[in-house]
Amino acid sequence: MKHRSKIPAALLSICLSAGLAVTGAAQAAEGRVIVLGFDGMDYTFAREMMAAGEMPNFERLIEGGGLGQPLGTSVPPLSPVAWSTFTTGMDPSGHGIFDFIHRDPETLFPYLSTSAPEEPGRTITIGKYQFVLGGGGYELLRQGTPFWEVLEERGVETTVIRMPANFPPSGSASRELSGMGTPDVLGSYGTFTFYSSDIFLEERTLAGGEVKPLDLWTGVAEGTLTGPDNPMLVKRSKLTRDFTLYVDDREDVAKLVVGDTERVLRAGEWTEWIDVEFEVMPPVFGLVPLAPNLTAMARFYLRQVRPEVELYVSPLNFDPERGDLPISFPEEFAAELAEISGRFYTQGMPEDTQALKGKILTPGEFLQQAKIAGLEVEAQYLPVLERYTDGLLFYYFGNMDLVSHMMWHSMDGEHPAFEEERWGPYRGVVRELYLTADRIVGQTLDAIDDDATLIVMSDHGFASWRRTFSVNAWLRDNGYLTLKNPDKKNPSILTDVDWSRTRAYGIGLNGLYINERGREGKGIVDPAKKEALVEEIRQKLLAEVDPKTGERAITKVYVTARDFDPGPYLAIGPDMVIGYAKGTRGESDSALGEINPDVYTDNVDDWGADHGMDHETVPGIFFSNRPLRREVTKLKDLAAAILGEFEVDGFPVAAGMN
Amino acid sequence: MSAINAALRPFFDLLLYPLREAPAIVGVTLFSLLFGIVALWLVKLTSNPAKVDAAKRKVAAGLLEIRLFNDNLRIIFRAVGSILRHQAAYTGHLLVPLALMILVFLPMLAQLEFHWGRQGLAAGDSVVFKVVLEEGWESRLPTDGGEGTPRPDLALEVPDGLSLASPPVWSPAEREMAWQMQADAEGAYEVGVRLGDTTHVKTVGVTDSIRRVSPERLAASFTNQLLYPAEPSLPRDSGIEKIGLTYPTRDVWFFGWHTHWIIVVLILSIVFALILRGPMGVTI
Amino acid sequence: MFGSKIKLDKDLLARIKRLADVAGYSSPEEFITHALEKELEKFEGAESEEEIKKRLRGLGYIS
Repeated sequence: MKHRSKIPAALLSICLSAGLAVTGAAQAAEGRVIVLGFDGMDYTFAREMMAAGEMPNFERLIEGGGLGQPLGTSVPPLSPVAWSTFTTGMDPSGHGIFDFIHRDPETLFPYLSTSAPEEPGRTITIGKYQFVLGGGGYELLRQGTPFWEVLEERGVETTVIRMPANFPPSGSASRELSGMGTPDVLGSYGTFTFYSSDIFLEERTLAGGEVKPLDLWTGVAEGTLTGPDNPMLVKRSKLTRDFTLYVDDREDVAKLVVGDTERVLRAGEWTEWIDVEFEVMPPVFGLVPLAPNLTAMARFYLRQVRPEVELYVSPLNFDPERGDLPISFPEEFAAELAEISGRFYTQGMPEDTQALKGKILTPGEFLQQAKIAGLEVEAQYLPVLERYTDGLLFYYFGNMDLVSHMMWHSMDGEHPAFEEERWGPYRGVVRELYLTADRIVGQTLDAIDDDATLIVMSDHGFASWRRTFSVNAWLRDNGYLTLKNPDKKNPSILTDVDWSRTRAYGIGLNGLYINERGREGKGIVDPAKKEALVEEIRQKLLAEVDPKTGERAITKVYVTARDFDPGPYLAIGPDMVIGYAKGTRGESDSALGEINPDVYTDNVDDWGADHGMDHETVPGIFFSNRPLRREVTKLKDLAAAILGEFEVDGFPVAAGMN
Repeated sequence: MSAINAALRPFFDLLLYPLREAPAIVGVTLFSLLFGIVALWLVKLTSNPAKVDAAKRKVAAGLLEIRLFNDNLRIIFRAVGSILRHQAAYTGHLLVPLALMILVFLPMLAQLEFHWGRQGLAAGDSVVFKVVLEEGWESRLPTDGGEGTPRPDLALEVPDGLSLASPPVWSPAEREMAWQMQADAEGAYEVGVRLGDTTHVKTVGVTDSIRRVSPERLAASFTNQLLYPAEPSLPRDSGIEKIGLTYPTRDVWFFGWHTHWIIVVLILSIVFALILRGPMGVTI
Repeated sequence: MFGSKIKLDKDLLARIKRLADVAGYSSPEEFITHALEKELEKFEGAESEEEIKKRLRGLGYIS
């Protein structure tokens, strides 16, 4: 069993109520603003529910003269881009996040846009062991000055919980917890493991998960959890930890043993967080440890015990009480939150959509898991709200977005993936998400008094995603991208493209790049001729008609050099951003640089709804309990308007000033 | 040993009763002071101060010799020999009090471990409660006659305040029956383990104050009673090896450092002994 | 130590010796081993294309 040490919960309340010393000569600003961010909350859907009288607290929020309007989202309308735009008050040219995925212009390798692992420091090698000196952390790639930094400079205390694209935490708020973009212990964005005693089940890797065998013999099943590479070994080798399940031969129940932890669970039951300890280096003489063990935590779900034993193990998460990964500022803040309301998923986007897409969890099981993750975030909110006295509190809820991705299309009978039997029972799930948001808004209204400003907002809306467009296949079919060998299966721009005859390629969900001489490693397009080429491709894309629907597939194509601000990070982004028509989205493999056989396909994935479309078709929401001093029509305006409530100017901070 | 423990348990419960709501470090400090005084008193009672002092002075003389004649190898070797000899003599003089200390302190430390080393369950906690049978139980204990592998006729009687969150898992290889047990409310409980016609009890403590909690009730044996004195042994012929559950471990705060209480006692009692040896007139 | 001999250009060896000394390596061999291992890692795929894609697919947005 995990041991408990008492970190006084009082510490948090002292931190939360202590005023911050005023820095600089400027007069301290005052005010109280709470911002609730519901990722993916759709304006139209919310308004429909309000009209049906199902969201009384949203009505209560605006009834005294408050605002309730759509919020223009970012281009492209993807969460890391949108939240970075909110954070900095600038478009991607000012914060440097253009998509989930960027590419290295030299090698075209794709990478996550928001954070990057740093190189480990120098190593000292002793035999087969190595000791790494420093380095090896993570770097936040989002640029620009976050709005809370400007508030802090004016003496306003700020608490920023789970702002996306803020890992590692910026360190400029009084308290921060990172969210979307925070890796799991493997350094991935969530890798579950599914174990089965079925000997015919193939051991394999899925998107975001692994399938592994369980050795079952006379009621005892043994499996192995795989951790990250052992940092102490010169030769790369994975850390592992065995576990055992003792299966009862009468009832559907088993005892799980992982290290020192034992847990009896029924089939269909999820465990709380269980420690998973990896031994990095055996102690000298079995007693003296030279290196601390790596302790992760996981939730286990015993799916069934008969006829085969099946066990789902969540991604291995960093323990917020241990501080092995910088997920909060100050560092002990995460542990204080865990002390108050229990340990929680520290990885970003914890709802395990990949386990549902991989047909490992059923829709019902996915909803159980998503509920666990959502409730952790909710359980943390009330204590944080209770301790809030003044300044700014931003609190993020990501559950609505990820559950909507998987469940929204259960309301769309014409969706290619819709089957009544599989999805019919979940038609009401999205509605329940909005009811939850309404309840949270109600709890907040009950807790605050009349002088506080409450803002409820989202980064983008939602739409059913029926049709898929592969930009790389389109570029190939239109003569802009040439393969070395047209017959090769699953070609990728990394290995299979003839760059001497390729003028453009796609990376990311909405990005299109010109193969520019002097920028791309094997660039051929003369920079002087780029503008004309961009315009030519733009016109052709806008003329695209989906042969199945007979409607336009693309309603906007943004030319970044012309349509974006001339910020300092414009050069790292794509040359064009595609705004797909509502209902169409960029193809997933194409987003990683693969070239699909067909341009158009039906979306038969369980991930049946999305928002990576024409930004005007998926606006977010902006509600507040009072009119703000500054006008807000789009996400980019919002932070300056929040600062306005504190009567603070000077935002956004011009790039290069931070 | 069982009789001694039967007397020590209520004694320590009573002794620690006033400290149950205070941080563990308070009791740990008081006991360290007591241990320091008792240790000094044992030394005073059983060692010869003149001989101890003489041995100490001889060791000091040897060290001085090395410093003064550090260029003369022969003298250094002789001095080292003398130091080792007298150090051994010094240790020898204190051997009796040391042996007495172990005899007196060990049962006390074993008792205290179950007050300070663990904490009770918290209301809402869920733990595995298990009964492990002795080898060869099949020939001695009744089976329940159900389907599957033979299993003992074993059931739990759970009082209000605790509840079972799962049916039992029977693991023949481990000879173990395990349940998930939920602590619903604070209290000191006795769970009945009914095996055939006999019922044994096991204590379960759900409390946030410092109380004696017993992780395991074990089969009768001298070492079991020496090391796990928090609960009486099981009857000799019960056929049960142990009945147990896991309590969270407790760390003691010591100047910003969280550690096992026994380390703190060790440090503090040495400090107290060094401070008090003058006033108590003890040579160590 | 190298299991088999490798011929190096004289000038290069001199430079290696000098740098190994300055950078605090215990011997030129240690420096060369370190440099080669680092370079090999790049090709053996400290992160292969597949591994990178696998990680990015964990995001959910990309199946």
